[in-house]
Amino acid sequence: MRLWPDSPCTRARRDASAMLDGRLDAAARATLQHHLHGCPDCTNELQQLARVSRAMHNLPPFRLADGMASRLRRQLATAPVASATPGQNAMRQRLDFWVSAAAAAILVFALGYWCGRKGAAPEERPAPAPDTAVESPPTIPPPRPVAPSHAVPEAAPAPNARFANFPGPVAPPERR
Amino acid sequence: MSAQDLPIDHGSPHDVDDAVLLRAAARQEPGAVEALVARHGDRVCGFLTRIVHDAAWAEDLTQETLLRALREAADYDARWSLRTWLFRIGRNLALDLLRREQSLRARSRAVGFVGSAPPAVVTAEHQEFQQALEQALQQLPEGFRSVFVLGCGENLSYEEIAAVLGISVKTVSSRLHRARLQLRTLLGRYQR
Repeated sequence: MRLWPDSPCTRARRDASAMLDGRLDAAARATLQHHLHGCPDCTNELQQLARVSRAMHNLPPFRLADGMASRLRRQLATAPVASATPGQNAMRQRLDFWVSAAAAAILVFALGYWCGRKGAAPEERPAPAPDTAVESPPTIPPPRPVAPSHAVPEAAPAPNARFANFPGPVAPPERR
Repeated sequence: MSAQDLPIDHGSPHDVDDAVLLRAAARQEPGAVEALVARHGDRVCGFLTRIVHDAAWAEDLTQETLLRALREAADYDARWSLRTWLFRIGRNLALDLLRREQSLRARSRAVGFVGSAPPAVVTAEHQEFQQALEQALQQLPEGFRSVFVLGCGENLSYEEIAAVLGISVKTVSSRLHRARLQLRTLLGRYQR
């Protein structure tokens, strides 16, 4: 926040470029012109800025040396332009994006699966003897470490009392 | 067949719209590449010369700019003028080149005005002022120089300059004003 408002000269000099470029609205232009009538310093400043701009505009134009078109034709002939329409280009970019995303997802999944297998491997030791499992009381299931979900096959057992005390790999039923 | 697909040689290449001309040139239709170079080559080369301060570099950059535009003609967004797009491609290439060639300031090759058309009547004093302006331009930071050249040399609107340089319109306004102030100071000897 300014403590003091800009002086008319400060405002005029700030608006000078906008005036030269025709970017000043009518009210601001009128205010500036009114100020310039009574301020030779600001008038001089504006004239100097205008002279710099005019000089730039009046610099001689450049001319390319001859032969540019034929050089371009030669280069185009060696590597022709792909005949893609604007829509095709956008579609190709979208396709590239989704292919990359799918590849990344597969990679992440495979890495996660591999890490999960490595982490779960020590827990997949030989199961306790089937007879102990069968003889254990069915109401108090022994705690069983939960394997990562991706390490479990699709037919993972539901939290059902029937399977709660199932010790691990399938064991042959005990013969009586 | 849409208007955009009309072959360029059915009429004068100099009469067609820029977007049509670009597509025709990309298809290498007769006269289209020549018309494209005639229409935009000098302006692009002039702009690039003032960025890299080297006529030979600027010509190479102009060729690369036009070539890239032809190869990527399908990406041209017709909401902007073709000249704006070409300036944008050219400036990016020029900045890449300048980054690679850090020794720009050490180079002693002068800006080449070979082939440029002098004004009909040029006094010695006027010519001296023009040379001083070219040298003063090189003392501006690149961001200010590009804004000033595009705004005062190429008469691009603030919006077009913003599109070429990838900056806001407000920044264009501010840089243009500061470029003028710096040039006025640098050319103080000539200001009466």
